[in-house]
Amino acid sequence: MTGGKLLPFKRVHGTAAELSDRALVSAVAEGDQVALGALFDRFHSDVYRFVAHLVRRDASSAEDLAQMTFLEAHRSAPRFRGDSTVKTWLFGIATNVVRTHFRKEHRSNAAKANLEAMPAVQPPAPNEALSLEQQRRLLTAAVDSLSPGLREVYVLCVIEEVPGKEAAQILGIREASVYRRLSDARTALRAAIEEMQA
Amino acid sequence: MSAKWIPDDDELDGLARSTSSADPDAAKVEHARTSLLAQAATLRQQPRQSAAPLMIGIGAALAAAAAVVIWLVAAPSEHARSKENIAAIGLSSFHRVSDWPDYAIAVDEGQLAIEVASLDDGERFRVMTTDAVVEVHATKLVVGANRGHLTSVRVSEGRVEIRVAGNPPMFLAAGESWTSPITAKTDELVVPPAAAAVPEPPVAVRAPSSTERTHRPTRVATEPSTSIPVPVTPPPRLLAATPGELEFRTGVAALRAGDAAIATKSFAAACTAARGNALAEDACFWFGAAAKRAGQTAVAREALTSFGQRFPTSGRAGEAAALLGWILYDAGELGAAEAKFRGAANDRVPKVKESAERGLAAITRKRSTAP
Repeated sequence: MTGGKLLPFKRVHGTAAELSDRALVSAVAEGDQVALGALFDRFHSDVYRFVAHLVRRDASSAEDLAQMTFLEAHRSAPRFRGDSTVKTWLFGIATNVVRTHFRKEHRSNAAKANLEAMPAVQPPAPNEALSLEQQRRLLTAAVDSLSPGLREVYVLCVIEEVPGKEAAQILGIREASVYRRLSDARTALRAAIEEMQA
Repeated sequence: MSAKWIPDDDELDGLARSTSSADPDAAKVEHARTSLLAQAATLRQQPRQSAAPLMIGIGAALAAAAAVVIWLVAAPSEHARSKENIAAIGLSSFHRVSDWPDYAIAVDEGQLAIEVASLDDGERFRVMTTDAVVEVHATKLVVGANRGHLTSVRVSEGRVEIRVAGNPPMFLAAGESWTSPITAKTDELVVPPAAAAVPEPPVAVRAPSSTERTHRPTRVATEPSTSIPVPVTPPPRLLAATPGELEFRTGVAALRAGDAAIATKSFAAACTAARGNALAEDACFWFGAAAKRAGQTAVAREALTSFGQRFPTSGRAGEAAALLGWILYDAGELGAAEAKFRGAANDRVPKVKESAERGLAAITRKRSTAP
């Protein structure tokens, strides 16, 4: 589709599968349920994966929060101006949904409970190099131990490979702050990995 | 003792990217999608609940690109709070047949996500297709249909009863699902034996034309009885979005399910919507017949009278006359009844002729015993 005014779904030819992401959001803004379903089909796995990382892979919470993200997207669709990609827009919504979730769930207590519930990572035996699987487990536990702010940045920029400028849009911070937090996240990860091997 | 593993930035990031989180359960994803669409539909419906305009959406066939929702709002619901949430999932075609306390919708195509709150005594919620009725109680479910035939029912909460023509009732609980074992066929016309066995007011049988013989329903004309034979589904050429078609098929489903009241409403709507097309004759005839079945004598009388005036040369004219004759006989209008029976007495259909002759004999007996 060319740039310019987005046409509502009902006035374009073709099926929902043929519409661009932005035209799909435009159709959702018109109340088109087919378009909403198509938006869900296209982006649910990305949103779920992103949210799952933010909530430390708590599957139940991730499912609920991913669904809430799309419901909020349905409400917010009329305000989508098309100045970011749809995925960026959805990740921004997901970030806010997760932040709200943590505020309601008494973040610090939940974090402590999660850390206590996590299985201890078995330290390697002396003189034994870490296997790739062990390294992954250490890293996963370390990411989960990050503060929410650092975890958001690390998941977005590294795991989801979102460019810094878009990550700044999603998180509502300056681009320079993104890179600073990313550096802090890597430092914190290394410290956590080292501590877990003590 | 080996050195600790302290990765640099590149190794850290590379490992993080390659460590994938678990994919969500496919069934849960489907449930989430259904729930999302249901909630979104609720958000759209809430501002309109206090209004009572008549709204008609645009329908389309399966291959069409646009979403299809047909929604007929008959009268404002008296319920202060909606007990039902109904949302189309993708392409679908459905309409409301009746309002609370006997809420019924007819589904022709596609899937619907339905949520029904606890029902009070005397309340019912039903989903109907041409061949089945799904009755629900405090339920969340997804119902699928194809060309008017029930294809699937999936229950996430509560309990439902499914009554498919020709089959014993089935019950599904939360977490259970049912899928039709056969592909929906537009020309299937298996009349449940029970429908023909129930005694009924005398209903004559119209001799089917040569093109209809494969769809002949089993009919039994008896002395005053209560069942009406299930009508023939319109031939396939009429099944593609003919005005009144959906309502007609709903009426057929209702008759199969033994609900003459719903059938009456549906056939009435079909009779109105189908004006000018080939379906009108059948729809208007069955409007009268169903009303008689439902005990709505005044409605049946008017409908059958109107049918006779609109379609004087119809192959069902004699049958309608016989039915009307009995209504007039019961009302004590012997002269008018006699005229109707005489009009039907020469009908080519033996059962119609027999019914008319019985009527005339009954009138003669009644007159002979009158003071």
